[in-house]
Amino acid sequence: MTVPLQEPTFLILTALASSPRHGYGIVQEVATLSDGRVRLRPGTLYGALDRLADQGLVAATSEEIVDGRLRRYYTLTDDGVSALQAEVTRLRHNADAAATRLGGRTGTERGRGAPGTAPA
Amino acid sequence: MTTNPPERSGTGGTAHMPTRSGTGGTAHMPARSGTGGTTHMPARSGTSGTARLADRYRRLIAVYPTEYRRLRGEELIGTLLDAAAPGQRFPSPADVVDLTRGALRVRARGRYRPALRDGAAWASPVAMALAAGLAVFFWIAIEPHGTPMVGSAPTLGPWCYVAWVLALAGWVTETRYVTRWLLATAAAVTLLMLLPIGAVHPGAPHRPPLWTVLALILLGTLAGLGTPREPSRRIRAGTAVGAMLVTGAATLLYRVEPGYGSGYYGSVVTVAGTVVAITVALAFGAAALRARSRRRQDARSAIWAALLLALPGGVLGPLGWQPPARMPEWVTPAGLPHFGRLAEVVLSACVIVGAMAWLAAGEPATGARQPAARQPAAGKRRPECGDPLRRAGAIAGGSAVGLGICATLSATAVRTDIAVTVTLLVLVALGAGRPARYARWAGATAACWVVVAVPVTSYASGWAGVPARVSPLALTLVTTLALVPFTLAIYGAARVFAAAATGADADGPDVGTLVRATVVLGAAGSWVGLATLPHLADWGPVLLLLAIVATAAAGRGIHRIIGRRRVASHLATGDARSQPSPR
Repeated sequence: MTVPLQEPTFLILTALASSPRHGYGIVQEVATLSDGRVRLRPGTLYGALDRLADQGLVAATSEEIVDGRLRRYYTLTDDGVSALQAEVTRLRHNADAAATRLGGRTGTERGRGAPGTAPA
Repeated sequence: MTTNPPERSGTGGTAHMPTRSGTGGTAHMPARSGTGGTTHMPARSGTSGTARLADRYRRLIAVYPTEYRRLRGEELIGTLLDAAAPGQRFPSPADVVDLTRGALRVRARGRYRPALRDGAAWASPVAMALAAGLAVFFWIAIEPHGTPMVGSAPTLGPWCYVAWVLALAGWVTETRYVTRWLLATAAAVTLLMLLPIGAVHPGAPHRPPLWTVLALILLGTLAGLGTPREPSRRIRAGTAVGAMLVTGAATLLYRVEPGYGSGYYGSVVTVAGTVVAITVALAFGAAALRARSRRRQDARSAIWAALLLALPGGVLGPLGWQPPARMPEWVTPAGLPHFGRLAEVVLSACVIVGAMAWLAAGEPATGARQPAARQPAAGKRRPECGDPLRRAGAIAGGSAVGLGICATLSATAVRTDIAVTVTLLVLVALGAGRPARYARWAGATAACWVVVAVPVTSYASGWAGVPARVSPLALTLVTTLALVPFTLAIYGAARVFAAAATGADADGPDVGTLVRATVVLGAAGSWVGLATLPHLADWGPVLLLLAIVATAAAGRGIHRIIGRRRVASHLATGDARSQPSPR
């Protein structure tokens, strides 16, 4: 997994990290994880799940029928765990790098920009 | 780490079933157990409102492929119902958009072939070099300094040639976005050439011949489809150098070649076709080299690239073209019409598309790795090796009807060539057997013939409107199109023989199917042979191209038959890899 994961994909993998979930469970978990920002629709969700299953990152574990509705549970595979791990490392590294640079910038900015600010 | 996921292993699922539902749910789970189960799943969720919403969702997901619905349908509906707002009665517009998009994506996945994508990417710079190089060649060979040699009036050719040169300039210097716009513009300008200006203004300049226009548009489309996102400096420079090489080689050939007439209808198009054929041969050579160095996937991509380039190549190059007016005798003594350039172009397109189908049949689409595609539905018939043959038979039957209708519309006396063609088409239809299953194909084909007869009739009369009757020339041209059902039939028969040759599996053809395939091959082969062999000398570079494609396809077929066991074991390991163990 050298290509950075797209955000919905990343969130789906994250939603499955702790326990297997069914389709609507993933939708809810992704909404929670993203503070309601990412609301997956079923067509998109299953498209992503098909792709992830094809790549061997996700697998279906079990099925049950609740209230006449079929629920299939998905879980991360070993490959999925390492892909998510790699992405976490990548994101953390990027975030750290950005924070460091921003820290440097804030200092110069403050020193340079003070006279021009607060015209009122 | 320990067990196989039940998703792909079928009935193994229940063992790992967490009994969340408490009722041992999966035992009653109809999803993959066949009997077309899922559609009969009771939608017993409380109110009838929910059931009605479920029905509406069920109708909505009909946009997905049947196989996919069988696997995912009820699960998808379950999730949709879970996500529905309380009291919701209809699918929201957002659902409609989302599901349509999802269905389109699934359908595209089923046909998605990585080797084809790579092949298109490889063919793209070559097509760009050919389009620009040939445009410049046409320009300097036919219309230097705007003093054209076609009749007395200059052609409109330079207008589109300059557009192709601009597209090449964009390719070398600009981003993909700009390049694609320039390519689209060049194609549009070239397409404009086809407007029948001559019919309105008799003194207006001519356009370049249909075939050069078609070839440029096909090459440009190919260049645009596979344009690299960020071409390296090497590709940019290589394309420019390639275009110069094309112009140079074509000009050299044009000088060396004795030539049999000036203008587009002389040897210029032949020279252009030869250059494309040589390029295709080089691409196949690259494929062979890669296959020898065991880069199989790369070899496959190179074959795709060569076939894609051959498609526009088949449009260019036939010799011996004569304007219809000079050819009053349309029926040879053998009872068959003198097939002209149209036959050569149609047959080369059929052969090249057939080679593509042959290649695609040996390569599973990535979507085929999904369990849905690998396990045929219980209620559904398994595909058989004789299916292409029967479909071709139905199409031949429909063609016989369509050609019969066209002949009736022409209101001429019964012609031997038409009678022979219809008889052989009927023979193919009867020989293929069990046409009832493909009755719709037959009907659609018959309709297609009548529809196609309209532009062909107009073409035969120099695009001067649509005559009330199908002229004898138009009827001959329409008859030429019988090449399509006949080559389809040959392809179907070849698939049967190939299945018999690989033979090991239970899907091989029985004796009856083999006999049918032989009959069909005989009937279709004799027509194609009689129609083409007497005039092979006129085919020029198209013949060269077809020889190259046929050699490569035959080599590929033999390779497939020999390597079948190896490929099967390779696929098996691929499957094993695609079944990762759960955490």
